[in-house]
Amino acid sequence: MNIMLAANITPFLHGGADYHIQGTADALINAGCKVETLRLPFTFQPEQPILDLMQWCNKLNLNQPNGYRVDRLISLQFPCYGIEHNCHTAWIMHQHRAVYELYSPQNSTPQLAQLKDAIIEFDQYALRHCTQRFANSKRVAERLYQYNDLKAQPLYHPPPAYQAFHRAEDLGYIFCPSRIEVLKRQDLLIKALELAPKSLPIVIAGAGGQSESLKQLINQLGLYERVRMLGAISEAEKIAYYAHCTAVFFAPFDEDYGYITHEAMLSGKPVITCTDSGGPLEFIEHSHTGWIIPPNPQAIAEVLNWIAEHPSQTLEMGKTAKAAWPKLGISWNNVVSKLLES
Amino acid sequence: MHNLDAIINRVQSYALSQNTQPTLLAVNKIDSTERYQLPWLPQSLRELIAIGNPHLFIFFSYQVILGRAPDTEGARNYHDLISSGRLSLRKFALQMLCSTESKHHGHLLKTNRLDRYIIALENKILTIWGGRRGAGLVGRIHDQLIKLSSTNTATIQHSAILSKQSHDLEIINKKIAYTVNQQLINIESNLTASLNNANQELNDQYNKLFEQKIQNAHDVRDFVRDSIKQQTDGLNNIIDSFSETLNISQEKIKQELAHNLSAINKSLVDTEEKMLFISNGMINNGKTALYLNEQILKKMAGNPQPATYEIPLPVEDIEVDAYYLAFEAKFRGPEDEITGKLEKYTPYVEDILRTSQLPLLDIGMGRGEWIKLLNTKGLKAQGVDQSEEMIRHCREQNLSVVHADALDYLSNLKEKSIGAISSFHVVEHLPFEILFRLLKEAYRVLSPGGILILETPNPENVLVGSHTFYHDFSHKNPVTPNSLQFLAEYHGFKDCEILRLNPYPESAKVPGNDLLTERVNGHLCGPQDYALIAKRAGNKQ
Repeated sequence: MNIMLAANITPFLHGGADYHIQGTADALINAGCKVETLRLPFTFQPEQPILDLMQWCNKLNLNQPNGYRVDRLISLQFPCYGIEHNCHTAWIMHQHRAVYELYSPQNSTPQLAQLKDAIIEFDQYALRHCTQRFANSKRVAERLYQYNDLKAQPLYHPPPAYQAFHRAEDLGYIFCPSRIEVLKRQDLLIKALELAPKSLPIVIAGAGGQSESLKQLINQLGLYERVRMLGAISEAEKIAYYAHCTAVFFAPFDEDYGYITHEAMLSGKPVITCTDSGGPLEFIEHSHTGWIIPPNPQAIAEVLNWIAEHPSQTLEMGKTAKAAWPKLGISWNNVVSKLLES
Repeated sequence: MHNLDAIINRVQSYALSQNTQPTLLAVNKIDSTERYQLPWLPQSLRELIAIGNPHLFIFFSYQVILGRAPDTEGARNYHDLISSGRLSLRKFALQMLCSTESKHHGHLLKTNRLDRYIIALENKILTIWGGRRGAGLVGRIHDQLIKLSSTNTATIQHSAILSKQSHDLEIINKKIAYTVNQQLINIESNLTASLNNANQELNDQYNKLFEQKIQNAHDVRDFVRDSIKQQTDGLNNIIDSFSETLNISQEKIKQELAHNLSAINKSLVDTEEKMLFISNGMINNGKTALYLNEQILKKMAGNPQPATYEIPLPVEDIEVDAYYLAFEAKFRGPEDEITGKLEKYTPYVEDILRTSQLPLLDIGMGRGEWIKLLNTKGLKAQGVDQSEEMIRHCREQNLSVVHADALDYLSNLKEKSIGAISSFHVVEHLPFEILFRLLKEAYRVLSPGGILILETPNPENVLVGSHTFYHDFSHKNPVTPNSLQFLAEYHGFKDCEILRLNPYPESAKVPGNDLLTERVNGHLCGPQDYALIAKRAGNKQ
């Protein structure tokens, strides 16, 4: 079976999307498919190149390029959904978030407003005409239904190197791995720490645009002795920090999917997340495998104190989380059989 | 363990231990070409020579002039020359300064003006005189001058010793570090090896256990297999005896049936004979009755008249109709092929039918392909045909058709009540009087702007006119396009158009493009059918 996999590339700006694309290609190849990966250069600014790329996709027909039969097109990202193919499976990683859930009319420019209308119309048409639609997570499917009135089936995939995560001796710290960005809200945790005198210390891993201001916040609140920022760490280090921690903090704003939830569960650690965090809510069960609390420092501080006072219960919750993950049925085999289903 | 630094150290070392590749301990090779930063270096030629100790002097000459440590071979050679007095320190330094390697390195050794003059003088004497003696004298004087004029010799010598010692220490350090690293790597690989061994051991143990289990499983399996075999054998026996009984009873039933059958046959034959006898009797009775009838008629009329029987033949009509259906299937082609050929007429009638909302009437609609096609496009169409067989065929397909003579039907229609009239392969069946009246009536019933379509074999094709036209026994005479158009125009139709259709395929034509070939192809292989399309003029006024 000849499969075209269509996605974007943001040159030298790498993240989870690259793993997702590569993982999908590898899984299809392992299932015996021939795969060609098409990656379109995507720029977030300004608006015109995005409109141009949409138009280009609309004109592209990949049924039989150069007379070679393509049995199925699988598109993962906007605007690849617009490419024409008789058997087109869209697996929506996320839509162009800037014009959907992150859009606010107050902070918008006329160009962005115009782009918003064009993209909604484009998505509406392109996605409606796909043979089948999957979403990266339930959250992404919900947004699609909310903004475009289209249904999609959630289809989960495992995080990178998921077999490597494991439990080791609990050394008594809260681990917070993630890129350090506004939407990831590490500042909530720091503010909570100030309010939780009994809390275990915190280890923050990752690099990003908010590193400096987070450091300033830590110094401002005089919490240097209780928090460490490691910066970027290697994969082996990440696995080790997961293995030895007591609990994982992951409370982004409206996350699409979030590998961190899965990595924490695989490492046998409960997850602290918030009611508006999106993706993690599909997997974490409050007071069983983690805590789902309002996104404010006071509520987080209460959980931090509770963890420090209840080490054996926390440990049990971690074990429950590890036992729960396999029951979610997340595997590349399942992904492949769904993608090639109809 | 709440000290963050302790925690981070623990986790980091755990991460390292988890890493199976020994990449973390890079091998630090001792590189002899590497240059170390020495704490002290001679700044001038005078300072260099003031070092005095031949060993140190050679080391620093190399360092400051060539920028590297001396190689052992060179160092020993120069040491012999200098310590035996065959080469003065000044001479050695000057030789080294003139070497190409020194130019390449770009040293920073300063020479004061007086020394430069003396060196220049020495060189002059060497080149002009060509004698070594004078130059040697100048050299010796220079040596003495340097010795006498040097003031801080002790300090320089002290610095040189210290600097050299620190250099040696650094080298030793590197060597130790290298060895330690090597040992660490060895230990690590040993660890990995022993871990692998332990794994292997565990695997072996596991495999042994597994094999034992398998052995047990094999025993169980054998037992199960045996018992299943016994059960199966028992079942097979039962089935065998059962099928035997079945065979016996089947045989019995067969015999019984055969017996019954012959009895029934016998009685049937008897019945048949009886019936034959009865019918013979009836025929005789009939004949008698006819004879009696004749006698009665003769007597009543007084003159002998033979009895005439008007025998109705509806059966024969139906037979002819059925022949026609079969004939059409063979010579006009299958229904779906016809539909394809009819498709081209839709653009001619579509507009008028839609705007007027009047129906099309197809005269002699046959199997009804055309009205069916129009119906699928949402257009009204009905057919009229004399053939009962065709009417039945069309009604089965829910088509609106009338069983009537076309001319009669037309005559009874109201004026301007039809949007279009079509008739495919009908006109060639009609006597001229009928055709004439048909066109007249057609013009009357068509609404203004209405369309008339008449398709018929094209006698311009010689083969059609002389041969294929007569495949159909009911054809009267070919109708030429010119005469048909004239007839239409005579009755008032406008905008007449002749469509010439269905030429022979290219492959049937005689190859070539000269005039004769073209004429032959035109006459023999040209269009086999044509259609007249005519219009009743619209009343715009």
